[in-house]
Amino acid sequence: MLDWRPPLTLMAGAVELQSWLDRARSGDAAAFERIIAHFERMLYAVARHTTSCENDALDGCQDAVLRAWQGIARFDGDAAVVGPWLARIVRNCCIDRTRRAQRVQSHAQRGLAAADGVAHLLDPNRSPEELAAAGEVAAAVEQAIARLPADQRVTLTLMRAGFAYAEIAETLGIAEGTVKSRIARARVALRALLTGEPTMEPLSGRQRSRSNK
Amino acid sequence: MNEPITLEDLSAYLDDALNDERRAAVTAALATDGALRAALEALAWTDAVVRATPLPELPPGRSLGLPDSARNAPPRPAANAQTAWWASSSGLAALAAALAAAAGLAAAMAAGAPMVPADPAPTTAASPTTSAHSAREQTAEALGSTSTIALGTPGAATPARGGDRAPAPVPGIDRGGASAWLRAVAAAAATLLAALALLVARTAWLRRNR
Repeated sequence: MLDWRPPLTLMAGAVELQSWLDRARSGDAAAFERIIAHFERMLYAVARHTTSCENDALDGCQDAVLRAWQGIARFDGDAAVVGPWLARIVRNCCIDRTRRAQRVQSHAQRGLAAADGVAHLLDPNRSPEELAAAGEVAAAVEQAIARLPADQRVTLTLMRAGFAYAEIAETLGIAEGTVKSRIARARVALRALLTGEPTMEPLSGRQRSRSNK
Repeated sequence: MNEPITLEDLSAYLDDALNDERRAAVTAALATDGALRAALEALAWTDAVVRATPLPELPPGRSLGLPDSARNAPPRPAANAQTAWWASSSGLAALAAALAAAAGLAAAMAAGAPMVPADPAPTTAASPTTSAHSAREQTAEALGSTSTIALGTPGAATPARGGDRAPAPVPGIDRGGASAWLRAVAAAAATLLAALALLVARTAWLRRNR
């Protein structure tokens, strides 16, 4: 049985978050910064997987924090949606910054620039817990994720942060069906990248060909 | 309905993101299909490996926060928040009213155009073009319906019966009326398109800045 870690967004109580949000709306900078600190890691991960440059990610995050502060009084959502709201601002700021710097690259180019390949392959016969304990997972996973297309990277990052499909869809401005599809394709691609196995075939095609016999 | 199970279904199954009907279909298929179970296990292994990896941390010594200048300048409350005039509801309503008024005026002007040649008063002092038009009308009236038909409606070339015939339409006025209607429709369509473009721009702006 897999051991699921608690989602990052659920680590602080919703009541506490709502209290910070209410105070931030009325101009309490300290309360606003507590919200930012609460989501800091998720926001940085979104930025890091939106741009291919660490400096752009950090600058994009800072732009986003300022923009969020300027817009917090107009934000009419509650604590449950403040994470997706911040993630969307971070993503927009990072995209703006990348465009301004004229560093927009194709997905393939970005993937290759981010990593030449996964340093070492993981043994699919060993359990994830075993691999994690041996310290073999983190670098391999980050390298593999860096090779995914940008849309899959950011969707997967939000999923890792504990967002539900509906929240990811809202954050990225896409349909839930698209989220479902991107996550599935990301998992299939990661499996191949991490283990060196051939990419899994779409089951629908296999089943159709089987039923046609 | 018996749709084949896809990798997307299996991935969503792991996330408990399928509706009840689809979830039941996947569960039933997993009970009988070994290849499906192997695919689910492969995806579950990958997902567990990814989840076992923490999200990347900020570089040491870095954290996200407000600059002092922003901390000392709290955001304006929602009631006083400054919004671009075209993005505010009242601004948009005012613009919509102005566009509607402009469309109405344009339509009225366009529809009013054919009234001018129908008025006999200005005929004598009219420009050469107007005079020529009026002369053609007068000629048509003088020659009667047959000539009028010959001028503009060849498909209706049958002579009218007796004296109870209705007055024949004057071709010049008909064309002017049709043209006016076309102009009115074009003006209305252009206005609608402008309003639609504005609405789309406003929605995009609000979505980006909310």
